[in-house]
Parts: sequence; C-alpha cells; structure tokens
Amino acid sequence: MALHEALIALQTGCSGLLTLKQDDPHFKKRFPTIPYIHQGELEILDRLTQIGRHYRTLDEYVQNILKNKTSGLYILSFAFELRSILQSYLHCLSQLEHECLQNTSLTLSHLTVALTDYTLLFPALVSLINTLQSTGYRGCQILDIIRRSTLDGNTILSSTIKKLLCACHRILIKQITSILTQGQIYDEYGEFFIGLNNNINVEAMGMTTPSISRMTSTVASRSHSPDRERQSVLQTPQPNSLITPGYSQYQLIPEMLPSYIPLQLADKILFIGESWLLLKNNDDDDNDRKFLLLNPIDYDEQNHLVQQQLYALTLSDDLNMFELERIIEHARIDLSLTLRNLFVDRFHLIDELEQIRGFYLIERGELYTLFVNRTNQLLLNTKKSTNAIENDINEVFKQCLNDLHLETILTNADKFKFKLNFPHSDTTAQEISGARRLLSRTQGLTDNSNTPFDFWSCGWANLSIQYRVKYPMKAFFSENCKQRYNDIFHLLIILRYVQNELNSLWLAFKNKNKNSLIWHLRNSMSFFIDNFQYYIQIDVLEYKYQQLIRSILSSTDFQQIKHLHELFLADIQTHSFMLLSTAYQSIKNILSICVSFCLTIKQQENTINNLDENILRQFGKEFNDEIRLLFGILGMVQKHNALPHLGVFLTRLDFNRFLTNNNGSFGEF
Amino acid sequence: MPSEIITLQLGQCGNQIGMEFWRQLCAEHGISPEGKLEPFATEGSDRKDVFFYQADDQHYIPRAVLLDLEPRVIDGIMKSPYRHLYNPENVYISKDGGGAGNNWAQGFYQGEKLYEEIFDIIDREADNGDSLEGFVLCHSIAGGTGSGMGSNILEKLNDRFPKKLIQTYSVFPMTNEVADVVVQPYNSVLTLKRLTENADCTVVLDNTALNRIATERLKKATPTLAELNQLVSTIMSGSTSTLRYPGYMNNDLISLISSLIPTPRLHFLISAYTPLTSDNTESEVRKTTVLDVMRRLLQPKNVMVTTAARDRNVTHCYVSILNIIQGDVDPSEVHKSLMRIRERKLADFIPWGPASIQVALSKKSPYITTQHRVSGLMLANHTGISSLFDRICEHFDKLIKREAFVENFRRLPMFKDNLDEFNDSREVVQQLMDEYRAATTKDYINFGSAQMGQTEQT
Repeated sequence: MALHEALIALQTGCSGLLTLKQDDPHFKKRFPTIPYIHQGELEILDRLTQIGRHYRTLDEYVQNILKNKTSGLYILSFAFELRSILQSYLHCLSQLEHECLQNTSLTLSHLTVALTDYTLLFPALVSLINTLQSTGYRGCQILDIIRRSTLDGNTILSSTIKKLLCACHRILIKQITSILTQGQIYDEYGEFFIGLNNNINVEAMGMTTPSISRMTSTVASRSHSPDRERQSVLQTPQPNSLITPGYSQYQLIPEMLPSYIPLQLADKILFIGESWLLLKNNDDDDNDRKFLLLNPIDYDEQNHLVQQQLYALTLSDDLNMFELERIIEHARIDLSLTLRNLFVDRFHLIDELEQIRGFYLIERGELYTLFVNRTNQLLLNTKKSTNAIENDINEVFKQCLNDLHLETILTNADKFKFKLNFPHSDTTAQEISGARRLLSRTQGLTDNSNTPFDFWSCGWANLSIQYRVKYPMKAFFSENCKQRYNDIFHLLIILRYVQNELNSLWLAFKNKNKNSLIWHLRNSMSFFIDNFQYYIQIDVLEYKYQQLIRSILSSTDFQQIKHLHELFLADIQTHSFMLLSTAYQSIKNILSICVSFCLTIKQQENTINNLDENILRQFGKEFNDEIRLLFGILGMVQKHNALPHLGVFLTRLDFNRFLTNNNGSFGEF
Repeated sequence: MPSEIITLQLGQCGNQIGMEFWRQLCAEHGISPEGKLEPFATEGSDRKDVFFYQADDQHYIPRAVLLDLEPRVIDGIMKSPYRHLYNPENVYISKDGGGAGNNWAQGFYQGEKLYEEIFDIIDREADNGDSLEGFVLCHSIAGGTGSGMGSNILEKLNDRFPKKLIQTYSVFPMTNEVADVVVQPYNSVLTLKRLTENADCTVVLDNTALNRIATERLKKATPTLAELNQLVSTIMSGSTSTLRYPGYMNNDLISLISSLIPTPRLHFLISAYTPLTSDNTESEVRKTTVLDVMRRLLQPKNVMVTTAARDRNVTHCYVSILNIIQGDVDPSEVHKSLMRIRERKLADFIPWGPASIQVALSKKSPYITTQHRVSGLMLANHTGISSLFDRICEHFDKLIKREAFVENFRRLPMFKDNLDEFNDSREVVQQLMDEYRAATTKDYINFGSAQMGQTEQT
C-alpha cells in the first residue's frame, strides 16, 4: 500500500495519502501520522515524494519549452536532453513498479536505494533550471551555467549534466560549422556569440576591440562627434534567420561568449565569417568570383573536411577545446592566405597604401607645399565649416594636383576629400589660452578685431581628409584607422603650415635686416619645426612605412597584415608623442606660439621698426618656456627608455648640445 | 606649374657651367638634347616643370636665359647637339660683341645699357610661369661679364622682384699669386658687395678647391675646364634634386635656403659632393654607406671651397649643414650616422644657437646608372668662408694701395670721379667677414642689434 502510494508520488509528487500543495515550498502537508505506517517510513515517503516533486517541476519545464517555440535552440536542445533523462527516470519507475508487483515484500527502502542517483540528480537539475529561468539567459549564455554545474565531484551528476551540455554544444558546433564553411550565421533566435552589425558605419573586419583602439585615438583627436560614439555602441542582433548580409558585417557579442571559449578563438571565428562574406560578396565584380575559382585551395573539399572534423567533436561527451582551436586555426590560415593574395595581388593593397601615404601622410611634399601656399589665408580665416568653403578647398587641391601633373600618380584623388570638422562646442579653454594670451597682446596694438585670434579654431587646425573606401578595402581600413590617419594628418598639415609661414617670414624679411631678434627667433622656431617634421616624416613615418610594406609583402596571413597595419598607425602615434598628452600639448603650444609670432610680425611688416621689442621678447620667452618644458618631459621619458625612437629626435634637437648647455632653451631672447 | 626657377647664365664661365647643368638635367629627366622626352622617360614621377616648360609641340625648354657680351661660348653652345634645346629668344649676345675685357666696371656699365633688353627677356620668362619662386644665377666673379654685368643684374633683380629668391652659383677665382686676370681682386670685391647685399644665397665654388679636387679625387694631372664645369654642374643638379624629385620635404627652394641661412647676410654656402666620378676614371670609392658619405662630406678635402679652419685666433665652425643624400637609404642609417658624427665630434657648430646636420633624402634619377648606392651633397654655412674673402681682400688691398690697374675702371662712369666704390665694396666685405667672425662667438646674437644701433646713429 505504501509502495503504491510512493510510486504515484514519485511520478506526480503527490498521492491520496500524501498531499502536497503545489505552492507549498516545504511540502510538509501530509497526514501527520498514519496509524499503520511507521514514522520512519513516513520520512522515506517524504523523500520519495520530493523526488516526485522535482520530477514534476522538470517535466513541466520541458513541456513548457517544447510548447513554447521562442526559447531558442540551445534551451530546446537542453530540454530535449532533459526529457530523455526524465524518460529514463520513468523507465526506472516502471521497472520498480514491475518489481513491486512481483515481489510484494519489497520495502520502501528498496525504492530509495534504486533511486539514489535521482535523489542527487534531480535537486541539482531543478536548481539548474531555476537558475536558467531566473537569469533569463539564452543561447550561448546558458552554456556557462550548465558547464559550471558539470564541475561536481559526483560522477553521476557531472556526467549527466555533461550530457546536457553536450546537447547544447551540438547546436554551438552546428553554428560554428555554418559560419566556418559558408560564412553564414544560422541563428534564428540571436543566440550565437557572433551577430550582425547593422551599423552603417562599419568597422573593418576583425576589429573586435574597438573600444581599446578608440581609446588610443581619442587622446589626440579633437572632435569626437557624439553620434560616432553612439554608433559604436554594440547593438543587439536582430532576429533574422539565415542572414546573408550585403555590406554589413559581423561583430562579436561579448555577453554571449561563453567564458571557456577564448576571445582569440572567437576572433578567429569572426574573422573567418567575415572573410567568407568578403569572398562571396563580390557582386560588383565578376572577376573576383573567377579569382575564387582560380584559387588553389578547393573549398568544397576543405569545407567537407572541416564539417567532418567538427562533427566528430560533437560525438564525445567533453568538448575538446584543443581540437576545436586546431580546426579553426587551420581554417583561418587557409582563408587568411587567400585573403592576403586577394588583397595584395588583386585589390592592390600596396598601391592603396601608397595613395594613402600620398594624401594622409604628405608623401608628395610639393603638393602640400603648393596647397598650403594657395589656401593659407582662406583656411586661416575660416571659422566654421560651410559647403562652399569645403568645395573651394577641394577645388584648389584638385588644381594643385593638376598643376603638378600628379593625376597619374595620385590616381585616387576622387576618393579623398577635405573636410572641415569644427568642434561643435567651444574647445577647452585650457588648450587655447596660450595662443589667446599671446595674440590678445598684439590686439592692443592693432585693434583689427574684437575677438582674439585662436589658431586651434581656424581652418588649419580643423582640416581633415574624408576618404571613401571602396568595398573590399573597407575590410582593411576601418573607421578607426581613418580617424588615426586623420590625427596624424592633422599634425603634419599644421607643421607644414607653420613651416610655410616661417619660410614666408624669411622671404618677407630677407631685404630688411633691421631687427635681428626676429631673425634669431624665426631661426630657432624654424629649427624646431624642421627637425620635428623631419623626425616625424622620415625617422618615424618613412621608416615604419618601409617596414610595413616589407612585412606585407613577406607575410602570408591577412590577419597579420591587418595587425601590422594597426601597429604601424599606433607606432606613428606613439612616436609623434600623440599619446603622451603633456608632451603633445606642449608641442601644440609651440606650434601656436610660432603661428602667433608669424602673424603678428606679418601684420606689422611695414611698420616693423616700431614693433615693440618687448613683444618679441615675450614671444621668445614663451617659446623658450615651452621648449624647455618639452625638452624636460622628453628627457624624462627617454630616461625610462619608453620610446626607442625618442633619442633620434632629441639628438636632432640637441645636436650641438645647445639645449643641454642652455638648460633646455633655444637662446636668450 | 608652381615654384619655377629661372636660371640666368652670365658670361663665359656662367654659360659653360649652365651648359653642363642643362646637359645633366636633361640626362636625369630623360630629355633628349632636342628637348624631346625620351620614350623610356614618359612615366616618371619627377618634376620637370621647375626648370623646364613645355612648348606647344611638347618639347621641353629650359627656363634659362643665356647672356654674354661676346659670342664665343654661346656660339659654342649653339653648335653643340643642345642647340635646339634653348629658347632662341632667351639667348642674348651683346651686339657689339666686344666683351667686357675682364673689367667689372665695363660689365656693369654694359649691363646698365642693356638693361631694358635683358629685362624684357627676364620679365617674359618670369611671366611664363604661374608662381615664380626665384632665380639662379651662374657666373664667375673674376672676369668682366659674369662679375660686372652679374652685379648689375643682381641689383636690378632684387629691386624688381623683392619677394623672389635670388640664388647664385658663383665661381671664385684661384687665389694664388699668378692670376690670369690682374684685376681679379677688384672684380671679386666689387662683385662680393652685390652678392652680399643683393643675393639671398650664394653657393661659393672656389676654383682653387675645384682644381684640387679634380686633381686629387679624379686623379687628373691637369683637369680640363669641362671637368671642372662638370663638378659644378654636379653640385647644381644635386642641390636641386629635392625640387625635381620631390619627397616629403624640402620641395621648394625657400625651405632649402631658410634652413641654412639663419640671418640674411650669412648666406655664403660651401658645398661638397661624394663620391665623385668622371666618365673615364674608375672611382676610388668602392662601397658607399650613409655614414661614409656623410663623413666624407665633412672632410675639408672634399669641400669645394678652400677655407682655413683657424685664422686670427678664431676657430671656425658650422652655422648649419644640409646633407642631401641620394639613393636607396634606410632612414635609420641616417640616424646612426648622425650619432656617430656627434660622438666623434666631426663637426663643430656655432655656440649661439641650436644647429644640426639637416638631412634631406632624395631620389636618384632612374635614367642614370651610377656605380654607387648612395651619394651625397653637402651645402653648409661655415664661418671659415671668411678666410676666402680674407685672401681676396689681401690681394685687393695690395693692388688698391698703389692704385694699380685702375685706369680701365676710371674710364667708366662709375669711377670717373672717384674710386669710392672700391672702398665702399671693401667695407661691405669687411663687415661681412666681421659678421662671420662674430658668428663663431657666443654673443653673435647681439651682433645684429649692436650693428642696428650703429646704423640708426648714422
């Protein structure tokens, strides 16, 4: 009789004798004493009832999942596996029932013993599904939770949960296979750790750490439009089935990534997926499809192999991470080689870099010399951006290209456009105070305008290049890269402008040997600017560029090439002190002092004899102060050996040890 | 076609140098003697437009003006294969063809007389370009035409184009006792005054040093005039190579000049080139590295001016140095070389301001095969140049003391009444030498202001 009750209780969690209220967590409601049952047996019954209760909870959960189609593949797979566990439990029960019928002398203890495994297992499973339900995790997120539960000393428990995990892994492997072999994401419910990036402003492929690299860029970049920030916020993937995107790209969804899959591995998978997108998405050029055919690697066979290998992975209980990594790395190497060949040989990556060097890195010096000469006043007087001014600038630039017969060399001119990006709000007062201070003094003399001139708000300091990248190259030049190129360009163009101004001062005064203080000051400034320019353009830029080209040509790995390119940009920024904010600020101050000096002198060109010598001395003093500060900072940095190239710059500046001997100043002014 | 440069070739020497210069430029740019672009040179990324312009039939024409008072040298050019290269309108030979007779005053006077005709040519040539950057004048300062007419043209150019650069390549005469022209010191000092006051940059080519280099470096017992001129044209083409083969920097004349010349009067530059080769001798330099090249450039024996390292208790020093390195160069080599030069103290610099060896990397012409991987040109501002002026002045003083050979000068308007111009010029040169000497001391920075005080008082 008790056995019968117990068997019912085991299935339903309640029986006529043992009433358990569904909503009572402690389910102590039973007849306190049943006369013909021993108190001990009652206790056993309670325990069995508890198993039954757990069974019901689990069963309900499974039924719920199966009924409800929206919970996602992972949970569904989990539920299926759970159901088979429950079925084995039921099977066990029916066997027990059979035994009971055959042998009526069996005691309750027999049941307890037979179900020992489940007394352990069920509470764990219940707590697992409770966690799953309470956290609301989906997809890959549940993998972590399940995996945590496998880490249990009890072998039965851990092996059962491993089975559950394995069921989920089957889904994961299927998704990985899909992206690995076709570059498609089969992800109806948004469960995979790679999703579609629907931003218009797509990053280059493989850009998985945008936040870090953007950080490095922001130090120097002046204006970060708020919408750019907004765009880079990761979007949650849209539930689309079988996505074959056009110009959009994949991105990693960090919160979906299980902790035991290394980020590098996820990156590789992402990279492979994006590579496939790239390879398949040659709708604008039929030749490229032919290129795929020409490729020595037989992708069908390759894919077949990958599929098989991955399938083999799902057969074992434990997911073999090493094997997975090996397979993925293998696939990555193959694809990366293909892409490298595609980019270097077909898309002419080197030529593209040459173009970029020509425009952003001012390789054709004569072009920018001419450009600066022609737009010098226009940009100086520009305070806000209008289409007309931008058009003018671009027209002038085109004319310069034309006049220098550079159309055949800088062929991509139509892709590059000058933009004026004035910050929306006022620049930090701190940054401009130096220049303002200097110029306000001269304002007293001239009374030309009421507002003091501020170099950092004029066109020269806010000129940038907009570079339209064609589709395949987008994979190489990310927005982040472009921003960095612009940051470098920003410095280079200002240097060139200041140099040009100092040179024109030379010309203006060549026949007026009146005030030699002007000459000495001009000379010192020019010395600094020339040497700084040489340092950046040759010691850093040209050197690194040659390195980059060499390693691109010798590399067989597209990802590595990309990495080298990122490194190249980072190196340039580091070595031009953009990331050393105090030094960079100091350099900027020096630049604006030079500009103020040139403009002041120019204004007074005809009445130069009346120019107050104190103004010149003040310029000299401020210039010297800044130089001393910079020299001090750089000296300290060098002591710590932080920048290997720094010595080159300091040697140039201090070649005749004048700075050292004069306590870091350029002379007495 | 911006930053064009017009070359003015004056007198016998100037035209000979100029001729060599254009021959070199044509070879470097793949332009045939007739001015046609060679078929192999159509794809170049060089800039031909600084020194050439294109005629209606696409022929390249040098922006050159050839001037002389006697027809011999220019006639020679007009008989050479290069006769069709030049614009015939730009070739001007004085109609009386008598030359200046090695007389500065005669040259100056002729220049005055022919002013309109000459400046018609120069103006036309200047209007020909979009934005003229400056003039390059080649001449010698010893003879009559180059020195006298050159002086006149310098004054006029400066007056007419005050914002344009005027660079000269001036050949200085041998300063040994036996001069082929007795009035050489007069001519030189009179020209030096104009070079000081009216030129923006003078590259001094000392005939003594040129001969020495040709003898020693090229192993020639008696170097021919053509070989000496070739040396000069090597310097000229080398120093303009960053304009013609543009890279990151130094793409205009002003940027070259302004970094070398800190104050307007200290504008006399010395030059050196290595490795030197001539057509029929094997060069003794086998291997070239950047360090080798930069080191050799600093050796006095390679410098095309003979200067004394010390005189009158003055230790001379470099005001500025620009090395133009041509060829296949790794930027890091440059730095290593600089470090080495600094460690070894191979160059002394001014004590009154920052100074260093500026380096400009330049491409080589793809159409000329050279034996050497790297070659280098140095343009430097060295205070030791004053010792050259000193020697000239020494000879000048000897002559003027006894008013020797002044009759020819008295015959011309400038010296009809008195010889003040001689003293005046001598004074200017003396001031120049003083300034150079002052530049070796720490308080040169105040030299200018002291002088300014003087001029204000006067």
